[in-house]
Amino acid sequence: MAHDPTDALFDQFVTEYGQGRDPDVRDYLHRAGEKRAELGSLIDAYLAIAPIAGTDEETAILVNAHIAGHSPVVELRERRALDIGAVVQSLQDKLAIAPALAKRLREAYEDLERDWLDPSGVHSSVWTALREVFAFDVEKLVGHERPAMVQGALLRRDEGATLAAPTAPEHEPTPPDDIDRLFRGRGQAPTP
Amino acid sequence: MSSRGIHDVRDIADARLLEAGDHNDLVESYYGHIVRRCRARTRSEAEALEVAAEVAIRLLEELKRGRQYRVPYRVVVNKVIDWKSKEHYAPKPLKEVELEEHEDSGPDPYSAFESDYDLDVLLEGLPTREHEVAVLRLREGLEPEEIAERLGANRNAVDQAWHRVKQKLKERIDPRGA
Repeated sequence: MAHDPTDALFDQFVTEYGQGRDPDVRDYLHRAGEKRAELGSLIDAYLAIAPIAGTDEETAILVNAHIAGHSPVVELRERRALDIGAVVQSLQDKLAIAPALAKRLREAYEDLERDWLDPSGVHSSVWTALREVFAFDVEKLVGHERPAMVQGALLRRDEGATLAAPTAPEHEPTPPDDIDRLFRGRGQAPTP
Repeated sequence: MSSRGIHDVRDIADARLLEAGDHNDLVESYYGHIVRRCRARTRSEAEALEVAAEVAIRLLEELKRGRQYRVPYRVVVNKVIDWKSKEHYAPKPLKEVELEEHEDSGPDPYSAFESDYDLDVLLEGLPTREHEVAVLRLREGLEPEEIAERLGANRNAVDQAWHRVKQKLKERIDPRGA
């Protein structure tokens, strides 16, 4: 019936939502391309009168993190009533990290928690370990579209790196260790 | 079948949470709805979450102040989403005035907007059969074929009815409060 692509997407959204499948609004808007605003208005008008669907934990974490002004991973950790030390200790055990690297592991985890790491450089074994620690897919919370303030912080870090680049290193760069391989995508992942 | 039935369960659960003073649980139970609508109304995920957080803060602040509502809580939530998302794209002082004026205009300013979120009002004037099609489509997400089968109606008639409902929906879209 719906020949207009926007209408067709809206029809599909109504079907999915009405059947309780919680369609992702972002996905539909992306598919609408330049008709994004038109489809968004239609979906919004529909949602305003439709039965109200529930809240999943990911959404609760994202909104509460925004309200509290910290990252979603911090919000998740606080929801689980865990401190950083406990999380790092669990990671150390699960990833079989040498005790000598415990401090480096903590720093890397703190960077991940602040959303300072490129999630694509984090090894899958880290995501698996974090999923076990938090009983939640932490990867979904990292690298989320960042607010301007955090982007600024990342930019400053990058600028620092750029400024430092022309200076001759005082020491030979250290070879990547297990923490680099696991969290910063440098080299192969360590063998357990 | 009316829209009242669509929202009854939700409204009863909300009233219980309000009565028990479980404000955080009540507002958090709406986060999904708030974020969906904010995503539909804004241009990016960062903006959607920013507006959603502003909506949640506003709702929590009102409840903390002991505000009482004579309308279902979902009406309050929907209206605050409208206000906050418009405010996001407009000069702030103008929007704050709009919000405060509404708040001071009567015993419960939200009641003036209840019909904005009422399916029956949207469907007002539609013949009974079209009304039935709309409710089955909007409430249960039934496909036109399924609706035709359920109502023993012609598929083409169902398509026509759904088309009219969509037109009504489009007619009431406020172009982002511009």
